[in-house]
Amino acid sequence: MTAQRNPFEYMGANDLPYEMILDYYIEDFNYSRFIQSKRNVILTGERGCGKSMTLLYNSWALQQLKGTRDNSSPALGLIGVYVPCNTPLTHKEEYQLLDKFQAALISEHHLVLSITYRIAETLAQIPGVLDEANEDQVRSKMAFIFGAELLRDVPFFDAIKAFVEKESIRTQRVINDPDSAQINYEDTFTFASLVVPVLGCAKSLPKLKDSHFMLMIDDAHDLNQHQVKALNSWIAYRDHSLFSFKVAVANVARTSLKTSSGGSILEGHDYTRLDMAQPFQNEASDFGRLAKQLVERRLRKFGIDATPEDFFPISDRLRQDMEKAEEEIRREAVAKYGDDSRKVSDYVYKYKRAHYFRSRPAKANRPEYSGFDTLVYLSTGVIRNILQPCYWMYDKVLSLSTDNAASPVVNSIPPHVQSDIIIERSRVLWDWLRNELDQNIEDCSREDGVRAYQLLDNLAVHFRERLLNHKSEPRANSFTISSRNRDLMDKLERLFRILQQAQLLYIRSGAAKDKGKRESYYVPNRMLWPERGLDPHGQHARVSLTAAELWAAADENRSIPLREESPTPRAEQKGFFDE
Amino acid sequence: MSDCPLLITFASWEQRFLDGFKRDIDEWHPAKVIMYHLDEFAEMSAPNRAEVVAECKAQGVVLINALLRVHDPAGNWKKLRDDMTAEACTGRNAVVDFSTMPRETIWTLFWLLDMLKAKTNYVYHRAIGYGEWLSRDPQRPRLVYKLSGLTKLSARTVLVIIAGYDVDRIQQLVRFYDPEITIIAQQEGSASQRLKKLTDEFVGNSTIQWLKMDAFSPDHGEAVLLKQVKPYLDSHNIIMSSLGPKVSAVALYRIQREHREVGLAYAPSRDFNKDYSSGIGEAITGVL
Repeated sequence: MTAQRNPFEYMGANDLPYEMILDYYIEDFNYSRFIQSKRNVILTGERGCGKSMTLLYNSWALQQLKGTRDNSSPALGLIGVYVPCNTPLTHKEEYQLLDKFQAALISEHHLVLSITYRIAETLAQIPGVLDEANEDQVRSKMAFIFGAELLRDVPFFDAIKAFVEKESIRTQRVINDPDSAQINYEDTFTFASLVVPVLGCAKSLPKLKDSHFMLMIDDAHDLNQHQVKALNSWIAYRDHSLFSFKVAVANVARTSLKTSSGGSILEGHDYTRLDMAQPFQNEASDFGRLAKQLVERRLRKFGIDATPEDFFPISDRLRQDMEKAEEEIRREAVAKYGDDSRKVSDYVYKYKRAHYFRSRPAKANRPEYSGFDTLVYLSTGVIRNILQPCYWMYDKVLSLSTDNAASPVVNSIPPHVQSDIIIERSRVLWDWLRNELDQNIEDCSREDGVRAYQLLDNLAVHFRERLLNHKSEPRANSFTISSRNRDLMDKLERLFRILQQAQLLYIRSGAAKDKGKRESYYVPNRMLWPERGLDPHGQHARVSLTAAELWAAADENRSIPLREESPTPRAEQKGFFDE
Repeated sequence: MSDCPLLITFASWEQRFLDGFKRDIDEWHPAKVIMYHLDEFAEMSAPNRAEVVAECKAQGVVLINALLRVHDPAGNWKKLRDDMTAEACTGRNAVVDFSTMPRETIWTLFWLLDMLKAKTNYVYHRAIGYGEWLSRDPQRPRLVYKLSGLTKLSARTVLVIIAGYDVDRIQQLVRFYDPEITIIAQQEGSASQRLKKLTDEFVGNSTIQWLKMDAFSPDHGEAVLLKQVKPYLDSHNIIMSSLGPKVSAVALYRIQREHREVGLAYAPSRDFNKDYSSGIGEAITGVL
C-alpha cells in the first residue's frame, strides 16, 4: 500500500473531517426531506451504507459549515444534534450488577448525560445564541434544574458542558469506586428531568424561540436494553414541537421496539423508517446514480477530470465480446419474435450477458471484470462496497506508477488492474468465509462457519449452472425461500444473521409475484462471484429455493437442484437496485 | 504454619493446569484452595479436577470447588465477590494462579483482592508447546465490571490491544470500539505467519500505531505500554485489551489501577482448542 492520498478513502464517517464530509456527501432529497423534519425517523441499513454520514451531514455543525461555504446562514428552524452511541460510556456494563429498576435508572442517566452534552456542544456553536436573552436569568434557571451552580467564567453552554461532564465522571467514580463493591448511584437524571428542561431553556432564548431540535442518535444498536426501551418511550411522545428523534440502527429486525412502560412503538404511527440500503423507486434516488455522483465528486475533488465510466473503463476485449454476444442474441431474438421490438429487447437483456459467459471456452481465464457499472453491481447496493475496490485499484496504480512526482497523476484505472483487484478481493472474501468466519463474527461457531461456507458455495455452483444452462432466468443471483417451515426457518435465520453480520448476505424486501404482496429476498454479496467466474450483473429475477434445499446445502453440503420456474411477469421487471 | 492461606486457581483440560497446581502446592503450601471452573467446559476439565480433589485430600488442603457460568458474567462477578469476602482475604496472603484463567476473572480477582487489601501474589505456568489455533466463535467484547474506566463525553477512543495468537480478533475489537487510534502491541520475538498477515492488513493505516513489548520482562511490558498511552490520558478515552501473552494482563491491570480513567476490555470466545498447549515450562511469579 502506498502513502499517497486516495480519493476512495472509505473510513467511517466519524473519522472524516467535517470538510471532507461536505465534499463527499451526496445529498438525496428523498432522505433529507424526512430527516429535515419534525417527525421521528429510524434509519436502517448495514454497516457502510451511509447512516452516520447522513446524520452528520444533517447536524447543525455540518449545516453551519455548509452555510459558511455557500455564504449563507443556516436556518435555525431545525437544529440537528448528533449523538454518537458507540462510546465507552455506552459500553459500560456495571448496570448488570444492579436490580432491573436501578439498572434502568443508571442506564438512562448515562444516556441523558450524553445527549445533554451534545445539545450544549451544538448550541454553543450557534453564533449569538444568547443575543437578547437575559443570561443571568437563564443561568439561574439551569442552576435550579441541575441543583448546582454553573461555572461563571465560561460561556453559558460551555458551562453546561462542564457541568454534565463533571456529573458523568462523578457517577463513574462512584460506580467504579476501588474501595467498595457497591455499584449504586442515587442522584440520577432522566430525560424528563434533564434533556427536556435544557431544550425548554434553549427554546426560551429569543434566537431559538422557533427552533425544533432533532436528536440524532447514531449506532443505537450499541445501547443497552434499558436505554433502548427509554429511547423508544421518548420516540412515543406525541408532542413533536420541541424535539424529534432521528435514530440510526444497523438492523431494525434485531432491535427491540418496546418502551419502558411495556408498550411498543409502531412504524407509521410513531416513526418513519428509511432503509438506507434499499433505495426508493425513482430516478433521483436510484443507487446507480447515487454511486455515480459519489465517484464523480471524489474524482473532481482530486482534480481528476474524468467521468466514472472513463476513469474505470471497460476492457476493449470484454466490450468487443459483449457486442458480439449481443449481435448473436439479437439475431436469435429476431428469428424468434420478428419485429416485436419489445420482445426482442427483453430477450437481448435477458440473454446477452449469459450468452457471453456461455460461449467462453471451458478453459478460458476468468472474464476481465471491468467498467464502472460492474463496480456498482459488485457493491450489492452498499456505498462502502463501491469505495473499497476503487481504493485498492487506485492504490495499485499508484504503486505501479513510474512517475517520480510526489503526487503521481492517475487519470484512469486500466481494465487489467480493475480485474486483478476484483478477482483478488473476491478470493480474499472466499478465504475469509471459508477459514475465518468463526474467528471474526460474534456467536458464530465452527459449525456455523462451515454451514455458511457450504451454503454460499452451493449457491455459487447453482448460480453458475443457471448462468450456463438455465432457459428463462439465467442471470438471477438472488433468491426467495419457499416451502418454509418453522424448524428449518429457525435454523436458516440463525445462519442468515451470521451472514448478514459478516456482510456476505443482504436481505431486501420486494414485490412478490402475488399482487400487492411483499416478500423478503436474499442477495449474497456479489463480490463473491468473480472468483467463481460468475456474472455480478444480475437480473431482476429471484430464484425460488425451498427451505429444505437451502438447509441441506448448508448443513449437508448438498447441491441445490436446478429447476425451470415460470419467469417473473414483465410488469415486475425493474432496475436492479430499484426495488 | 502456612505462608499462604489461600490459592485461587482455574481448572482447565490442559496438562499444565494439573502440573502447575502440583507445583503451586509444593511452592506455596496453601491452607485452602478455591478452584473455579466454567460450566460449558466442565466435562473437559473433569479429569483434571478429580485429580486436584485427590491431591488436596492427600495433602490435607481444604478445597472449594466453585462453578462459574459462561453466560452469566454478572453472576460470576457476584460469586467471586462473595467468595473473596467470605474467605476473609482482607490483609492476608493470596496466590492467584492464572495460567488457565480467563482474563476477565483475573482482573476481577485482582480488583477484589486489592479492594480487600490482600497481599496478592500471582503465578503463571508457561506451556512448552502451543497448537495452531487457540479460540474460535468470538463473543461480543465487554468492559470489565468496576474496571471500565472514566469515560469523557467529549473524547474519542484510543484502543490498545496486546496482539496474540488470534490476530483476527484484533479486527473484531477495532470494529466494535471504532477507535480514533489503535495501538497494537506485539510480543518481542514473535514472527508468526499470522502476525505478518496482521501487519499486512493494517500497513499504511495511519490510525494504527505499532509497538513491541515484552510481556515476560519483570514488569510484563507495563512501562513500554504506559509510555505509549500517557500522551492520550487527558485527551482520549483509553480502552486496553489483551489477546496476547496472558501475563500482559498484569501490566494492563497495574496501568488501570494507577490510571482509573483507563478501561479494560475482555474479548470472550466460546470455542477453544483442546490441544492448544502441551507440557509445562517455567513459572512466572510476582507480587501484584
